[in-house]
Amino acid sequence: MSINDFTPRELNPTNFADRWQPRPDAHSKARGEQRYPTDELDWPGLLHGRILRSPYPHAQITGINVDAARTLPGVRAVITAADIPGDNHYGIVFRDQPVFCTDRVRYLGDALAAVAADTPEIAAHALRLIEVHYTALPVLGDPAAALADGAPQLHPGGNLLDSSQLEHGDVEAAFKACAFVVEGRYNTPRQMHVFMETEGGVAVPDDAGGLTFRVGCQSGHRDREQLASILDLPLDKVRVIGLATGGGFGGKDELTMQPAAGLLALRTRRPVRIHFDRRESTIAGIKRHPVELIARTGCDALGNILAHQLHAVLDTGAYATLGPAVLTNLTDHAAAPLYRIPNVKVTGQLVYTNNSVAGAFRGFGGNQATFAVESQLDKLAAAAGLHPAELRKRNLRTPDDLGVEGQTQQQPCNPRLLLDTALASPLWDHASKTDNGRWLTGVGMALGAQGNGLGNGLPDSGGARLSLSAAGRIELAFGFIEYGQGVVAAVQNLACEYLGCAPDDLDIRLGDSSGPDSGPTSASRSSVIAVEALRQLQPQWRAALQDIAGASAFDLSPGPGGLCTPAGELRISYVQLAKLAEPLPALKVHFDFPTGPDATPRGRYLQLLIASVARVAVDRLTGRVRVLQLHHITAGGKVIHPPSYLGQIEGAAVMGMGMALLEDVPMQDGQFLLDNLDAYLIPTMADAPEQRVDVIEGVLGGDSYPVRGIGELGIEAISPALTAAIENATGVRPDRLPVRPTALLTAMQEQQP
Amino acid sequence: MTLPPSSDQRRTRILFPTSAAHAAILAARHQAPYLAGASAAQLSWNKTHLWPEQAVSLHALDELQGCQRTPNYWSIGALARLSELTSHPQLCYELPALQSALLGVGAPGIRHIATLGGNIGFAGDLLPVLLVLDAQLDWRLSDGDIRQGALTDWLKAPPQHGLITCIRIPLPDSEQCVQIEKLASREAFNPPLLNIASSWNWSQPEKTRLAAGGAGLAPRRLSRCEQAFSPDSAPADSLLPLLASDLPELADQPLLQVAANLLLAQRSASRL
Repeated sequence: MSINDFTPRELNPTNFADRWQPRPDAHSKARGEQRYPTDELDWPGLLHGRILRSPYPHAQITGINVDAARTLPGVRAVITAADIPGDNHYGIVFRDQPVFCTDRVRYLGDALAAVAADTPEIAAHALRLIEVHYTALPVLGDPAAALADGAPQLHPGGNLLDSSQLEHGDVEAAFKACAFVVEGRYNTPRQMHVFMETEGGVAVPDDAGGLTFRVGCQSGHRDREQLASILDLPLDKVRVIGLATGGGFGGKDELTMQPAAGLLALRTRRPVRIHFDRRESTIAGIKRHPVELIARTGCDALGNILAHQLHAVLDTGAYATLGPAVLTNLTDHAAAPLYRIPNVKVTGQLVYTNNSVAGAFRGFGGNQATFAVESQLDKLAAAAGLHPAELRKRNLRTPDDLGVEGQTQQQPCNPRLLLDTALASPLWDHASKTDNGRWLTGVGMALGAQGNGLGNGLPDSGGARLSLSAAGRIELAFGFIEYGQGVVAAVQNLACEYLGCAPDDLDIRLGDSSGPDSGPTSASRSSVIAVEALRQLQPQWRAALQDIAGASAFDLSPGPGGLCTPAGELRISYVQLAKLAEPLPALKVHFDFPTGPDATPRGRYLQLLIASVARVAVDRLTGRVRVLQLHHITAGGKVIHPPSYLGQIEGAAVMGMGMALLEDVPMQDGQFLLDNLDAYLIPTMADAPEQRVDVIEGVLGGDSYPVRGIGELGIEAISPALTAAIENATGVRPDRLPVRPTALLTAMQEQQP
Repeated sequence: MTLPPSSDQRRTRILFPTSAAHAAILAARHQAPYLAGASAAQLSWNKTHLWPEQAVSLHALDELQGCQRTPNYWSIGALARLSELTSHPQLCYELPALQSALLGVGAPGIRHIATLGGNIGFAGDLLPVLLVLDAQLDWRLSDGDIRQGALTDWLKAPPQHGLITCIRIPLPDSEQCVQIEKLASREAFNPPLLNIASSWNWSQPEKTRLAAGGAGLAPRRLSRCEQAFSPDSAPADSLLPLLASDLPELADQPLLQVAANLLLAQRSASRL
């Protein structure tokens, strides 16, 4: 029997208990024994770094004097832009962000200098001794101000960083033919990632003039390229080890503390540790883009959607980071990818301001757009006198339809199956405005589509390395970072299935830039890369082990402990194979992320679907919203590790609840109106509702890509599901997130006769 | 000598008095704040990045501890931890509204260190319920005086460096119905948007007590509203203007309507 006959297995009642195993890292994390990047405190000669940041959101720098700081006892180095040997800029898409500003600061998080000292306190004190002279400049506090005539230009190319347009058909003509047209204006908040471990790590110099970074990050290889450029070191002199990290969610995709720590370590020849406190993380860290979306959608008298138009404006803050890629993904989602609409026009503007830098965040612009699109669908259904599900049924794409960019797609299932499953949710038994006195309850639903991979023809590849050590251990290496999402559990389960080995046979190495490049740990791509790598490695591995064992091993297969007979009896252990091998087998694979058969890749090929059904209660006295229950139906390929799968879907849903009901970083004139978690409130365990996840595990198109990454799927449709439920309870449909209780109460009172 | 606050927290000197009287003298002499659980003080100092040159620690002062029931009232030491009070069965049985308010403060970790006196000193979540319970305070002054008075009077003019030593809460009578509600954004560990407390006594309407507090809202009795409620009627139509005069900071804000809704709901519940 070929191993391929059963990998990866579907979940079923007979194997569920076997598959429901703790994550390999569960015990160490639960016991507090996991060593995180910011725990790297025991390096001999360790210095503590701090970064000086601008007190102005926009100002000209007229002078910097670090003399007093340099003479403070205990200070080992003070560096500015003048001390950077290489490029003083970084950025994943455009290198537009200075490591240290020289002539101008563009937001409160901008860095000007850094200090390495014997203690964190001395470093903090030294920052206060650095004199910087500024001339304040007008502050561009929102995209409208930044795009106004005569606005100061924040970058040489102007304040419009990027724009997008996705158009087919003739929307203007189509709207004239519509029997019903609805319009809406939607706003989504500047959400923080709020990882438990704020940005940090250590840079350690070696005797050969190189540096090793042991940090929290999401792409060791990409970070290495940027850091080598800043440090003016060859790539082989820079090693980035992305240690098991206390949360990422996109917020560590870009460089954070690494440039300053690396420069200080090079200068002092000693290890330098930097760890942002929560305030610095709030000020300097990446956020989710606040977006304003203006939409118009129309259908004919039968409920066939004829036209959909949407314009989005994204406040990307002072620098680009991944903003252009977010705009592209938002544009795709704003074109209503679940629905077959003949005339669509989506435009987007990505605008520089003097606000907090916005970039990658779970959902990556898609969930903001889905909030607007699904809200529009519900409004259109109401205008046309149709049930929201009926309008969707009449307009859902089929698996054979092309995507919104005209690309071939591989859907996991027919969207109609997803909708029908969602409509069978038991939560609907509680629908309608049941008046239980003070609390009004309601049920709502929204659908979401999401693609895996970087998309749009961007360079996107991955690889892995599989080897047998001299001690007989199977070593499987990927470049991914384990930052809590459970990739180590997924890799272990997949490896055991594809390679036949037992968990105890296996050593998994992740996140080292000196190992294989698997691409960034983002865009929900890791599971897809892992499956493809193991599928390619599997026959090579079997052949390599059989070759070591000799001619008599032709009917043996890799199994738990070593090569086994077809009956499962162990014949030659991995330890014995290692002793026999000359040389030890070491296999590598590298391949492109699946982009489909189109000659010019557009959009995303591998698709996932989700339906989220929400039940809420709304306090008629205060407008307060409680989420009572969530029911998700996911179509994202096979489940590799059930606890991690649930953790991803449920965790993303609670994160989406935060965006919908609680979270925002308000800014005024470039100033943060909060800087800590006493005012920025995220959902607690007490807010997390009862959740149920039903999985449509089978995928269309055979077993070409049986597994999809589900790290972002759970957040995709949660906001519109919640606002639909609020509407079901109260009659009010919130269009601005987060839903403020007082605003909802006011709207509820205004609609009363 | 009095020094200005410092931006370097390492420079804060902690003073350790030997008695409550000593603490009041030190606080006045050094213009120093009191430190009990320090849960609110730390947050405040971290936010402003300004730490006092000196602070007076009350930790070792046993005379500020304790929770006893007398025939007429509960007597609670200012240093009593909030978690100590929530685990006091008789106190919770006789003052359930206070228990409920206590459990709404911060999170368990905070309630383990925060004190009742500190909550009053920092205008915390408990003040509305303490106001409607007619709480009385004992406090010490630096000149050695020991004073007693109503919490509501203390709040109007807190004596400089007055050290609260004891909180006395009259035992509720059988006709009294006390209710509280904290409007917050989430289910736990919440800074309040609005705290509303009320005490209703329909056989003695003059004992009606209403109070409010919350974000940016100094805790206070709602004296004009108190006069407007009677056993037979609620001032539903006129409540908003009355509330606006009691809470002028909320005039024209949606929270004023929320406060009115909660008061009317509490009144209705008190008659069930």
